[in-house]
Amino acid sequence: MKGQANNPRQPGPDGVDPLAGADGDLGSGLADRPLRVVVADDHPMWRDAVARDLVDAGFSVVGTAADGPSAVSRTLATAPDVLVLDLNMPGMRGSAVCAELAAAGSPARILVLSVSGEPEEVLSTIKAGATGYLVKSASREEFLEAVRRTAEGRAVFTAGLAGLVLGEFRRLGQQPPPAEGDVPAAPELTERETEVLRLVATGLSYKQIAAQLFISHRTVQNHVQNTLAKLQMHNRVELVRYAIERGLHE
Amino acid sequence: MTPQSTPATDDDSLVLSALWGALRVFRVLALVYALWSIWVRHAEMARLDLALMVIGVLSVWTAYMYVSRRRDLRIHVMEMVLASAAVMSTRWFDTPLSATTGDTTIPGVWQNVPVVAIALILGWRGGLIASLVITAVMIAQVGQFDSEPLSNAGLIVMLGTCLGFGADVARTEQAELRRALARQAEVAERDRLARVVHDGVLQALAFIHRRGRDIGGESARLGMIAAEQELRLRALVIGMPLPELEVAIAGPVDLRRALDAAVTESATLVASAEPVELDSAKAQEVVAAVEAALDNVRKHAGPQAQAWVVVDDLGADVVVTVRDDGPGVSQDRIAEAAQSGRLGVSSSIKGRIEDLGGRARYLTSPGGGTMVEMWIPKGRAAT
Repeated sequence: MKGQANNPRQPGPDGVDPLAGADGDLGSGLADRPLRVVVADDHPMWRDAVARDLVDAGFSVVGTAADGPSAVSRTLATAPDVLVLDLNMPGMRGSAVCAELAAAGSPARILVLSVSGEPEEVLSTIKAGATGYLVKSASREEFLEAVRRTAEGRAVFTAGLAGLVLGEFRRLGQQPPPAEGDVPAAPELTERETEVLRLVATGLSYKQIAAQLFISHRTVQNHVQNTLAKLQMHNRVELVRYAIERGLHE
Repeated sequence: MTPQSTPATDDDSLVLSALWGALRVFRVLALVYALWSIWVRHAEMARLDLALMVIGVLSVWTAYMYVSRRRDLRIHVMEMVLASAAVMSTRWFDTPLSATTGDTTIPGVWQNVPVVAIALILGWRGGLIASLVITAVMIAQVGQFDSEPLSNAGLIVMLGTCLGFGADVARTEQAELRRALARQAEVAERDRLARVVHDGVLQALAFIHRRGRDIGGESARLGMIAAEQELRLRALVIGMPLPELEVAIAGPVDLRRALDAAVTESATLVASAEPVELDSAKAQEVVAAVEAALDNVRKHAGPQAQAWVVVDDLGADVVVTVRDDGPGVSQDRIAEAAQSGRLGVSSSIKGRIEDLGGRARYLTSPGGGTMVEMWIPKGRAAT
């Protein structure tokens, strides 16, 4: 099964609200220094174009990588604010890159930029620690805004990604409750989080959702952020549990 | 790696191949048996030398058939003629008892070989005819209706017909298996193509799309063309809807895939990474309802409007939401239109969903477009 969740049928503001965070100067992040970015893509034309766009917009591209392992080493060596990561690179899947970086304690935030929309791969990359996902056919402005958001630690959610995350919580919720005490219970969404996630999935912007639910834009943002944090936390706990089990049995 | 159009030979069928192999060995054993039974009664034979000559001819034939492994009808009709002649020779060369009662014949059981062969080639009808022919020859050899040839006849007819029927079944099974394998190869080929296209062509088209839009002017138009092709190609290789295959299996279908085929270019399908399984008949109704909703979007929200189709699997129910970013309609107007019977779409969506035991409702707000929410229970509803 592949591909229907995140296809770029709409270049419009699907979840990414270009107006939402555009209050700083181009390329300037939290501090005055330009945001540092590593671009990892095995297609040279994409790698160059993305890097050029970033440089033109005032970002500092501190490294590029053409495969998974070098994406990991470049990121660890240069400690950028953001790693812009293509999903399907040789050597290592996107999810493995994210997992490696997380294991190495890298503080770099990861924005996935992909032409694919293979739902399983997108989901596992997000679970492994990426905080944003954008299809390659998004416009330059959307992309630059997404990099800025990612650097600020805000999730970049498309409608498709919201659908994947929601679906994952549904799946976890339908699993039988764990019998043993040491198995972590599946994370659950609050009613409000579910509601917000579903609205994001229908392509509404944060602003529109805020208006519809009579809550602030910031609150919508927080709800979305929380869903992602819960999923990633659960993923980490599962990994640790798996590692311990393996360790005990060997 | 396209599915090869294999010629429809029996070599494909394991069952038929095994039967032909067995027949090839049986021909030899039958000959040995005929020789042995002649040896047992050689003292009473009318013309032992000529009887042995008949066996000699059969031996040459058997050796030829063993080596050539021929399986065509022509050679086995000839074998039938030879077997008939051998049976008839009993009348003049064998012991008086055999000649008059048909107790045994010179070829023994060898004459059953062409019956089996013809049954394997032509199926149960051929097997029946061949066995009747041999029976007729055996009766003619005795010259009268007697209990011995008739009881043999029963066995031969049963043998020919049953084996023929078995061959028919094996052939049908084989054809089906071949079709399934061809389909499998087709799917594998599409998967391979999808990967290749994905890694190369789609990347390039997406790139042209984006750069074209950035440069503007004529390039932007080129970019739009690239974007259109990117979409089509993506739908072709990634969506991979094989509805006929899923209907053939007739089990639950993945609603995401069923919808993916129906969702038009201006709409986005949003779903989980896991399949959303739904009874195939139900899924078809849901797809039809979604198509009606998207139709509605085109008609009422204009061609520029975007739409999102969200599939949310709640376990016991599936919720499918269709939203557009058009101007939206007020709740009152929907109710009013439905009352006056002008909102045909309403019934074509609502009716379908309610038939499935679910419910559908419109939600709308200015600025947020129109939203249709459909709840469909997964379990069997009283339809």
